[in-house]
Amino acid sequence: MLRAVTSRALHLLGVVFIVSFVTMIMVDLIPGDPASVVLGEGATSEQLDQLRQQWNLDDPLLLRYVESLADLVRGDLGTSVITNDSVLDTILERLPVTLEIAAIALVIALVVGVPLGIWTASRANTWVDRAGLLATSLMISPPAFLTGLLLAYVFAVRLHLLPVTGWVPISEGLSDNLRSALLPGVALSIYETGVVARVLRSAMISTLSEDYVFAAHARGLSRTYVLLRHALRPSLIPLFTVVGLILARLIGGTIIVEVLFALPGIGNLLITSIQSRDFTLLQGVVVFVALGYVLVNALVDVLYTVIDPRLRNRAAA
Amino acid sequence: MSVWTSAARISRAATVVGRGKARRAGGARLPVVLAATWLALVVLAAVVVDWLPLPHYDIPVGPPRQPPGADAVYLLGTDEFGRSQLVRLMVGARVSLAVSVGAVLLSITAGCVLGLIAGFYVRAAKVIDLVLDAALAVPGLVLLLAMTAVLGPDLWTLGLGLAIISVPPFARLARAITLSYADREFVVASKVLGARSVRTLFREILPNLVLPVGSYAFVVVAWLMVTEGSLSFLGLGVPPPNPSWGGSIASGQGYLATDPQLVFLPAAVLLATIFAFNVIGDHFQGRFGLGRPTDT
Repeated sequence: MLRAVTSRALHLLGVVFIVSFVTMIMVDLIPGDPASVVLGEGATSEQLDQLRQQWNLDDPLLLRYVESLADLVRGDLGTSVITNDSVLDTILERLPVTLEIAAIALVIALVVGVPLGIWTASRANTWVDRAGLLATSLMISPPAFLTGLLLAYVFAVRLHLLPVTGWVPISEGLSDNLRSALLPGVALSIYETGVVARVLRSAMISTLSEDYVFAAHARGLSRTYVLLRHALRPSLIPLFTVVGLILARLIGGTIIVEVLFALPGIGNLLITSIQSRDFTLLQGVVVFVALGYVLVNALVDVLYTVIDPRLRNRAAA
Repeated sequence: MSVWTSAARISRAATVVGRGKARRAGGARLPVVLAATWLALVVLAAVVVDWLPLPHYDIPVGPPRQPPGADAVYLLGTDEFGRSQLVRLMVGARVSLAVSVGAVLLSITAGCVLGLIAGFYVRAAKVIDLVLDAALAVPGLVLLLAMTAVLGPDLWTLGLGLAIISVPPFARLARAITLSYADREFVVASKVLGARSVRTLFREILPNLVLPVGSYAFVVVAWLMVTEGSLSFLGLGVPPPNPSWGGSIASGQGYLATDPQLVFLPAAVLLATIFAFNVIGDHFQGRFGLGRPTDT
């Protein structure tokens, strides 16, 4: 058990090392002199020197990497080239917006996807199941910006029910805040709903073919009871992995929706940093998103062994 | 005798056995036929657009934002600069398909080599796993955005980026298959007969990858088209004046209230194409695949 945990932890640490290294050398890959590319034509030589110093561009690569790792460990992601604000503070300021629409998307995906998965699995190979499969493959086909545009067209442009773009912070009233977060949340949730329903369906179908389910039916238990009490719980394990994946994906996956609905989240921050060639900010966001992904994955790994005791023994073997 | 022919024989036998079943599930066939027809049409449109007597995609042919009309040039109306929407969609199909399919061919090659090595050599597997996980830690769109920020938006950067983000799923799949074949008799026999590892890998194991990886490729192309569309929608994908479906949708966005067809025409074409790739991919995977190794 302990050995499995340490090897997993080392693996995740390795991932962090690689990602942070690649993000750091990103600046070196800019064709030409990075400093003058970032600052533009009008920069004075003092400004250029200052930026080179800030990025330690004159130091050897390995030394720079050690320094940037040390900064990372201290939670220092540098300061923005344009605004001089702390990158970490800027990210943390934007984070609640991204988290809120991601949370809305996840809740909708579970509330709709789980019953859909159970229903289609219990009617496997009937017209319900086939219609469900077609529906879920329709759900996982469109890019988020298409669903977003369609929703915006129907609910905002045509029906005037919800605002087209813009963000109202929670501090200005919960209902207005939810109104501005609803469309982006729904737009993001459609793909994830399809994924949840599909994963749960296939897991349930394989559980339903187990002997103990057959035995439960033989004992005369009702169909619903067997479905929900006997078959659902073991089928939730693959779903759990997927929820981890969805969470991790949503951390960076809200970009499109944030741009489409003009929400001040991390995704929009990333786009702004690219447009203004603010590479420190860009590096900060990329590392932050990657760390979030690694963290969620580590959490899922840990919770996995809590939920499924069989895995503890397998990991030890 | 090669493994290839025996595998082909098994799959033919499976088709014969499965024929009765396939007929019963007849409802599932129609979407596949429709999807294949649509893809054939899109490919045809992308190929023949240069030879048809149609105006250039960057030249206005009439007033802006014309609704879809009767003749060939106005068939789908004009965009916000009065350029023919039909021509732009056809040329956009070519750009979109070429970039996505090209990227997939590149990532299949890299992914299969990595997967074969990881499945065959335990020690290499750890390193490869680490690199793949690191690549997965950065969401595909974020990686592509960072690449365009550094290297500037052009078609080669886009293709390379799309190839990079689709290597991990192929490598995972290839490794899983390699592992399942590593102890099979014909592989052991090849080793015992003194074949070098490279020969065993490429002559004995590689042929078994073709069908599952090939079926999975359709799903990956769909995913890459989504990503390419998203990137072009953000204005950082296919650089203008090259037409792209995502770019057309983005530029029509401002007229959503007055001329929704500017958004929904390219959107419908993009959606239908992605859906078609998914349907065909699901169909092939049901027959030859091992399911989706990762849901990226």
